[in-house]
Amino acid sequence: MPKTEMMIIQIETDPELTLEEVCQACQISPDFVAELVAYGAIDPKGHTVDVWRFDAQHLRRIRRVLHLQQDLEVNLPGAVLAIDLMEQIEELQAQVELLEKYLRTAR
Amino acid sequence: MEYKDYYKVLGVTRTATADEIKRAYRKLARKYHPDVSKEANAEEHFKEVQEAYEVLKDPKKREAYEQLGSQWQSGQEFRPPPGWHGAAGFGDAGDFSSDNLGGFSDFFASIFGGGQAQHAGFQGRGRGQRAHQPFRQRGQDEHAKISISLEEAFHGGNKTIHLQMPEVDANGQMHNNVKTLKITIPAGIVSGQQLRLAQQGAPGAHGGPAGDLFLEIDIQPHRLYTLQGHDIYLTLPISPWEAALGAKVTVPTLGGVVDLKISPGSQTGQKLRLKGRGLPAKPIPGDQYVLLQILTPPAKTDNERALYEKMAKEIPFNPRQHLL
Repeated sequence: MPKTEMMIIQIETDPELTLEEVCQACQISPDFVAELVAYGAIDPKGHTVDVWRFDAQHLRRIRRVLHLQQDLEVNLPGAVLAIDLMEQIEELQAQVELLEKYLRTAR
Repeated sequence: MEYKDYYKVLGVTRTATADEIKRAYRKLARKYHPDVSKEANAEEHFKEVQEAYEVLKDPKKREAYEQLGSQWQSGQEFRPPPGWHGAAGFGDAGDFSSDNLGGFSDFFASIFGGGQAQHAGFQGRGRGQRAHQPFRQRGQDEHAKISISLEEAFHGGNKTIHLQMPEVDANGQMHNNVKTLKITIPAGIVSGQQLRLAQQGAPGAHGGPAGDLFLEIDIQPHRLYTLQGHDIYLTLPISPWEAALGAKVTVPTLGGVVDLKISPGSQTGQKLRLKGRGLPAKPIPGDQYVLLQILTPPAKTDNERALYEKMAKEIPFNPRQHLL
C-alpha cells in the first residue's frame, strides 16, 4: 500500500518575534541585537529588552546589515547608513516606476 | 563538472598578490552584492566572486588550486586528477559566508573535499555555529524570498513553491534537495512581509526540533498597476471630449471592473480615488487611484482637421498663458 504522508504546516503572517527568536532566525547574539538597536539599525516595539518585539522589516534590516558586514566589510554605522539609503532608493524607485508607467501611456 | 577559472572570475592574473586579489574582490563584491546591485544575475555573479575569493585569499587553498595546473580553460569539463589530495586539511571550513540556500559549486566541493566537517560551513553565514554538538539542538532557521503576482497578493490563495535545500546525508555528503511546499498566501500581503512556516527550516540535531522557514514576499511588477503600500495606481487614458464634457467610463480594478464618473473639465494628471479598491488590509483596505491622462486623436482626414480648426477658432484657449 502506498504510504501517504500528510504534513501540517503552521503558517504565520508577519510574526512578531521575541529577542530569542530574532537571535535564532539571524544567528546572532542578544548583545549584537542590542548593538543594532543602539545604532538605530532597528527600533523594536517595547521599551525594555524583555518586552522587545520585532517584525518583518526589522528582520530584513538585520539581514542586510549582516550581509554588508560580512560580504563588504562595512562597519556597523556604515551598514546602517547604507541600508537607510537603500530604503530611500527603493522608495524613489517605486515612485519613478509609477511616473514612468504614467508617461509611457502617453507615447 | 566544469572547471572554474577563479583568476578570471576576479579579473586578476595568476601572479596577482594577496592585495590585488583583495582589491579585485572588494570591487566586484560591491558591484554584484545582491542587496546593492541592480545588475542582472547579481546573485549568481556574487556567489562566483565569493567562491573565487574564498580560494584565492587563502594561501593553502590557492596552492591546492594551483596544483591542478594552468592548462585548464574556464568551463572545460573537469575531473579531479586520480589520487587527488588537494582537499587534505580543509576540514575546518566553518568561516564560509555562503548563504543558507545554495552553497559553492560542485567544482569547489570536488577540490576542497566532500567530508562532513567541510559541509558544516555550508549551513549558514557562519555566525557562531558549532557543528555536531552531542546534544539536542534546534535546527537553523532558513530564509528565502518568493515572488508572487499582484493578483496573487490581492486574492490570496494556495501556491506551490520549490525550494533548494542543501542537506547533509548520513555519509556526510551534501545534496541539494528540492523541497516542495504548498503554502497559503493571505490576501493583501505586500512586498517585504514575511511568512513563518513552523519547523520547515533545517532539521535539528540529535532529536532537536527543526528550525523555522521564513519566506519574504516579493510582488512582481504589473503590466497595468503600480503598488504603493496597499494603494494601487492606474493610468486611465481618456479622450478630450470625455475630459471636457464629463463621462462615465469603465475602469479595471483587481477585484473586477467598476464604473467611474469623470467630471466635466477634468485635466491630465488628476487623481481620482476608488475607495477600498486597493489591496485588502485590516482595518482599512487600500484604495485604487486613477490618474487621468488625456490622449488627443490625430487629425487624419479633412473632416477631422476641419473639426480641430473649428475648435481652434471657437474655443478661446491659451495653455501657455502662465509661461509668458
